[in-house]
Formats: sequence, C-alpha cells, structure tokens
Amino acid sequence: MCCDHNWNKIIIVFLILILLIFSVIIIINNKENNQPNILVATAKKGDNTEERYYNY
Amino acid sequence: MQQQKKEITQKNGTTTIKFSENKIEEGNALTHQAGSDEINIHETGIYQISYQLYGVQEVTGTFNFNAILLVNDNAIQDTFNESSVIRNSTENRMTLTSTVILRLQEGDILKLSGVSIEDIIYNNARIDIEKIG
Repeated sequence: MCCDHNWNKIIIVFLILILLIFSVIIIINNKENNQPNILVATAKKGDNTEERYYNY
Repeated sequence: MQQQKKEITQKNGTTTIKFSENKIEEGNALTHQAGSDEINIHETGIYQISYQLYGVQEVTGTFNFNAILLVNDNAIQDTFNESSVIRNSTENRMTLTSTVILRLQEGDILKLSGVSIEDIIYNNARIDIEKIG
C-alpha cells in the first residue's frame, strides 16, 4: 500500500517534468518563429560608379 | 602604338544598384553582403520591399530614369517605376520610390536596377525589406 503511494508520486512528478520540458520547447520554438526578418541596406555617392578603358 | 587610358566615370544609365552598408539585419530569412547588388532570399515567403533611388544628371540633355526590381536577373515588369522625361535639361535630380509585395522562393536573388539611356548618376539608394508572411 505504501509502495503504491510512492509510485504514484513518482509518476506524477515525472509527468510534471515532461510537461515542463515540452512547455520550454514550445516557448523556444515560438520565440524563433516570431523573430523579425528585416534588411535595410543603403548606397551612397560613389557606390555605383564604373571604370572604363579607352584605346587611342 | 596603342595606348590605354583608364578613366573613372559615373556614367551609369542602366545598372543594378550596389548597397555599401547594411543598416539593419535581423533574422535569417534574407542576407546581403555589403557592397553587393544581390539580396539573398533564404526562406520562401512573402516579402514587403520598399526602395528609394536617387538619380542626378550633371550634363545637358534629356533627363529620365526608371527603376525596376529583378528576381534571379528577371525583371518584374509590374514593378517598373518611371520618372518624368525632361527635355533640354541642364542639371536635374529625382528620387524614385516604391513599395511592392512579392512572393519569393528560397534561393531567389533580388536586385534593384536603375534603367536609363541617359547619363544618370545614382548617388543614393535605400532598400527596406521585411518578410511578412
């Protein structure tokens, strides 16, 4: 009788642990999915010039 | 005897725009190497793209330039953005702006191009891209 009681406690703790682990995994996954994907790039004077070669 | 002369000119006309600086880079869906004209798409999805392209002409002539977006070097025709045509212009300048939403695939390469048959110098440009879906 007392052993059954202890086993029940162990099972409950184990289930709570599994639940916690899954919760952490879900939170981390959501955080990654909500990460913004943004690029802002600029060009200034001189960035788009061109060299030319002449023969004469 | 032939001689070669190297001359640095800012005659550009039609050219893809190189961006020298990345002001904001967040996430892994798109990347850009500073100095390159290629924006690399790493995740399939929907992207909102806004740009500004500033062109000047310092010689007398017809002033006109346009802008367009390219995906894998294919021009997206319905992103063609045209400036006014100003004839007998001595010096002139204009900024073309646009916002478009495109569905892009993983592996796509996006570019912004200035398009002109005139001597246009692209002194400034900016592109803002966000993956929205």
